[in-house]
Amino acid sequence: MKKILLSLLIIGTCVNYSCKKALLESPAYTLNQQTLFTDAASAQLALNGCYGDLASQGVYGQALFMISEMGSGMGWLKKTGDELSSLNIIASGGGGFVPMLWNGLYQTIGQCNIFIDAAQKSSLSNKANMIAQAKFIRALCYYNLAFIYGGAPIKTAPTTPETTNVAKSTKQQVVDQVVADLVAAEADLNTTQADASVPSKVAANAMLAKVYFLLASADGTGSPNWAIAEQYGNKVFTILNNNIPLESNYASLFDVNNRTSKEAIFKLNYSTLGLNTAFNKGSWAFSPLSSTLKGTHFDVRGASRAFYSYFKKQHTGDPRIDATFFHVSYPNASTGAAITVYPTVTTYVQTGYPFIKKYYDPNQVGQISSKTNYVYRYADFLLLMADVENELGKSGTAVTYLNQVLTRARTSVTPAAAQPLNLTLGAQAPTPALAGQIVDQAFLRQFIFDERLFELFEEGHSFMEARRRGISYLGQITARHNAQADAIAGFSMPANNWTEYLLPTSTDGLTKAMLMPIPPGELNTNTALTIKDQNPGY
Amino acid sequence: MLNATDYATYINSQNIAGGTVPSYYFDGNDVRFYQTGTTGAAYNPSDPTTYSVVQPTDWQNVAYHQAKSENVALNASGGSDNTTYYLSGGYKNIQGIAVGAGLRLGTFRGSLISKLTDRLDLNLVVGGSMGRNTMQQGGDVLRGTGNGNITRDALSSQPFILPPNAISNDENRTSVYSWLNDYDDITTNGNFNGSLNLKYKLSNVFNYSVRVGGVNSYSDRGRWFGTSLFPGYNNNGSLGITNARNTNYTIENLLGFNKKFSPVFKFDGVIGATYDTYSTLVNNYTGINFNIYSLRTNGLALANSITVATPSQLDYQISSFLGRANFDFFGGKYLATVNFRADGSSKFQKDKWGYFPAAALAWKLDQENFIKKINFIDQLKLRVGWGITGNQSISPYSTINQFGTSNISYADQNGNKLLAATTFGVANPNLKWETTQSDNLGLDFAFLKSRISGSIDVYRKTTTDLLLNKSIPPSNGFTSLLVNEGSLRNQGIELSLNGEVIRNAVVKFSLSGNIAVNRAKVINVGQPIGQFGANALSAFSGSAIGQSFYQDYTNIFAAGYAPGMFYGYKTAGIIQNLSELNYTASDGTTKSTTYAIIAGGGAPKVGDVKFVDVNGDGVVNANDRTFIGNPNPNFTYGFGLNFSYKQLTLSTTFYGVSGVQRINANDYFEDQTIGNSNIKQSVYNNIWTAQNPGNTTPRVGASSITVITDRIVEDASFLRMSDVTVSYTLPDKITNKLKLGRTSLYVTGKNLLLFTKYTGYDPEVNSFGFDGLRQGIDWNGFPNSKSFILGINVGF
Repeated sequence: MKKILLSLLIIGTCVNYSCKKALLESPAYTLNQQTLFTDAASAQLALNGCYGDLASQGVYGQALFMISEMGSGMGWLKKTGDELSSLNIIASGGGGFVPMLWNGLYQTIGQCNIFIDAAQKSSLSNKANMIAQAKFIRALCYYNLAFIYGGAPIKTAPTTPETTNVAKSTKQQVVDQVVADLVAAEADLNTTQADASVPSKVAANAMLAKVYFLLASADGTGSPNWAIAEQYGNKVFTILNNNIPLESNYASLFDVNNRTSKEAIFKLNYSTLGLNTAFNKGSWAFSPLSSTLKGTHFDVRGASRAFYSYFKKQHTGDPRIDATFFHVSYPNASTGAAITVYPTVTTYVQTGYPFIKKYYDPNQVGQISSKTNYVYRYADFLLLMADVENELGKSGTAVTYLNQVLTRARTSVTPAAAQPLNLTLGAQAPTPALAGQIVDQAFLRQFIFDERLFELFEEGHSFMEARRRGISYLGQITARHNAQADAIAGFSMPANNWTEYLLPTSTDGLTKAMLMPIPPGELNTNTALTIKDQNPGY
Repeated sequence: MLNATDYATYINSQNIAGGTVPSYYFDGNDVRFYQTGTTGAAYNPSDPTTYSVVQPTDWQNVAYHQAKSENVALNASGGSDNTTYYLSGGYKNIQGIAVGAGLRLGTFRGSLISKLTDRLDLNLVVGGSMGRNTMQQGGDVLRGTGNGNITRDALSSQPFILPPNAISNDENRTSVYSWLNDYDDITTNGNFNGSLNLKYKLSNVFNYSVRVGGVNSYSDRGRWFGTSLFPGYNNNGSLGITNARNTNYTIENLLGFNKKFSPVFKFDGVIGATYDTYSTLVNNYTGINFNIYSLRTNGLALANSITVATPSQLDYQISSFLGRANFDFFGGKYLATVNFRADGSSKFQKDKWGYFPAAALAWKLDQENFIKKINFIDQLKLRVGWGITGNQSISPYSTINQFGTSNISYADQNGNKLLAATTFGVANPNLKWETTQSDNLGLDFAFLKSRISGSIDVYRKTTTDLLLNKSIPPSNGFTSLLVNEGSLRNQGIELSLNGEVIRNAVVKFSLSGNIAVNRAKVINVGQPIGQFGANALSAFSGSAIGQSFYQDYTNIFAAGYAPGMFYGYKTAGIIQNLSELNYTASDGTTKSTTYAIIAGGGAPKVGDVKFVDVNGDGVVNANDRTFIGNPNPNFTYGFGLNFSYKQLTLSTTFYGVSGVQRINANDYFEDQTIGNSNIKQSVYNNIWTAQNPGNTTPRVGASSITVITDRIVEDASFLRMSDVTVSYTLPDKITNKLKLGRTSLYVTGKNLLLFTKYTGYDPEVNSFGFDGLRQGIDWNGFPNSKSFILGINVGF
């Protein structure tokens, strides 16, 4: 017995004696910075984290296209206290997508900051290119912050407990950060990439051109930013030997099996096995009831009647209309029976709208789709360069770029469609809706503005496109919306969930609609912000 | 909640306000449903294909039932002079009030106390349990997600079974039946524990004891969502499997000392060292996309997609050195205790160790001659104490940056999943022990042959370096950070009294009562003064409670105020006349107040909720938020009585809380006139109309209020009869004949009476009890059940 006691005593003493070591933490089921950044393959996992957050539903997988398309002035959302499509949202409103996008962008920025910091400290041989990829991703996040929320806090280093409250920078400072990241990324990215899901020098230069194009658009004619946009854009032409690749068929861009389109400048990939929020929620969000065999759908989001009608009026018979909308009718996926929608249905019911088609995935299961998302494609680039050249007085070059996009649209079907016809500088516009107008610089300014809305609708750009030339151009969209003949009856029925909102047309209303509000979650917790930092009108 | 006819009339009034045709038509007692919003034929009373007759259903009756439970236990004890034993076993089968919920649990426990030698004592305890728990509470009970739960569906669903011609949408596709038929939440668990204590008497003065103990438990949970519930619908069947393993070992070494130095001075004490280690490992698997649903929680192998999450490991160790000394002067008339302990926790990185001294003095006044002379005093003891305690109840690894692969993934260009490593949060290497200093003064007393006894205590507790999971700006990429920040003071008085009114051989009757008043106050929060709505405060905010609505924080922690005060918008009834909104603008003109916080608030209408423009600037926005309630009670109290007459005993206890408020977040659905949710009868009766201009409920068609307002703050004071028991002990004559020991029969009722004005199920619900930054909120709180227990205790 004494022996037992003695041995217990020894155990007790030993345990206590070694307590210093016994109180050290060593989590065994997780990774840490040291283990992750020792070789390229494991560091790639952390870089995938940056891509994964960017592609997740917090950003490109859902929140961005919800804000961008539903909040553009050209989208329609069922009224359930979710007033995103009214362009008159309240700071705590927007159906949760306003904070979701903000948080998703900063979550991605946070992972990029951690990655860049750790990779810089590591001795990885290929770290320059990996850091450049992370900076490109970070630039995309700040780009969306600057042009959707305006000024925002800038964070470029991993958060520590001491650095949680960062004051708001101006929109110009946020743009400067985007430019700094893109310029730094451009230096270390590969010139081109076989697959556009990894950014290249082409992607970085094309993004730089787009940033200056947006700044110049807001400044208007005579802005020095037009020339800077041209300068970066021309680098893209140079690298590609003036050969800008477009898909021959517009609709094939949005074929679920087309995962590696040559038209992509930068795109994001999805898997049906994606974890948590790592799948594309677009097909669930937009495809109408019974349009897939195994997917879940609700008829709660579509295009506004006004935008659809305007597109059809400007380019009657344009093949892009069939690729962009479920309109007139579509087949029930299980029975084949036709389900009629707008413009066949004109009353204020579930099916009274044209539905969004570019995200449609016939293989959707539940909410899950693995369809590729385009962040940026060459038709977008050509149209922006057309606007740039037109503003720089080279309207002939502008028409050349523009006609490439119009030709592709027209020849997407065999035989080629009647619309949209190519333009000729100095001649009359060939479009019946524009009959009598001469193609000149002023004409092209308006034409390209509209053309970008048509070509890029539903792809996560509409919020910025509708606002890039300020409240007078945004006012065109809202005025057209409010004048849509068969929607007027619907505006007066506020409590019918299936009607449309009357959109703001006053200077105050349009000024408010130019930016999304800083979410309450940020204003409430960030001690470096005050209510004065909130955007106008909120 | 409304019945089918009232509900149909209510929804029709929404349709009319929205300019659509009514959804419901009446024919005698029948309510006929017509699916609006389609291009089908119009309602035609003589064509049954255009409508369907609804079947009224009280969903609360479907979801909840009268449950039966049984509980049996068997104990045995015995032994010899040197050795005693105790054995017990029990079995419980408890049904929950939600249909399908229940618990089965078997337990055993045994102990052995033996004097091995004159100097060595042994105490061995072993125990264990095995159980199976079936829950029916639903998905994400807490946040405002689409997953919902049975409580919400039982209240908010239309009060009838949805007709087959109804178009299913996101609001109506889940019903109570979905939960009953298509949901399983089954946990099996087991636990084994044991401890061995050896005490060795070194001398008459010193003894040494060593105790080793351990607990080993497991808990395996499966949750199945079939396709009629959102998680199942969205994923074509969804199964979550959680396997948790817990172990815990303890080793204690204590050296005791005990000596009487003189007739007037005794001293005893102990010094020791202890070590505790805790390990938890939780494995999570998620299976989605099923072709066959029938195996439910057993069907992980049938999932087309299985995800293995990074296991959740929660290991920590605590090492302690402690010392205690008790001094006893003049036969216990003056007592002093001094304690000291040093605790080291593995959870902290830089400051592992906390040092916690304590001291107490007691004076037994009743042993003083000047008190002994007073006849009616039997006991009088004055106590004074001071001490510091520590708290380290945070998650392990909070000071270490970790990466895992289960937050997010990416994909390659062919659609193959790629693993992605991301960090879990912002680590804080500076964390240390939270400490509380307590000061207290107390008096124990007994008068009149102890027929009146009681105690009174005054205390003050000051907690500093509070360990808080603080909300941080989302611009950090994460929304919370664990910090040591701020200090909090609780001070109060507690009084308890017992009185034996009648005390004789046949009848005994006693009463007891207690009351406690506590005042809590935030001393500082370590933040500069900033603008919080209408007030400049040094404060931090609580967490947002909802996702798509109620996105604002609800609680505020402001220096100088009680912790967790409710913060939001003030309202003043319903707008009866638009001139009520007039205010004088800075330019001297009269303008109308606008509301920036609700849709359509640019031009409020008669019949809308009227908000108070606290700062008077003509617009109600985030600058008008202010204090709207307090979740801390004024006082709590309890009382009970015990009456016995011969073999019969009646006892009951009541307890209550007074002056407490609660956020009833359920009012988002039940108190607003929006959407298809069913509403309370009282709300329906008071809907504002031009003919019936009430001042409590807005008009049909008013915008939904998604911010926190005083409309959802309710008085949650209550008095509850928690327990009433009648028992009868068989007389010895009978038990002797039956050769039984002491045997009694009893009936107990629990929660039979509740007095409250609170309109939710239960004024005691605290839905976010686990989160200190969201307090006093009822979000889909589960009803508290009343129960009757019939029991028998038999001794052999």
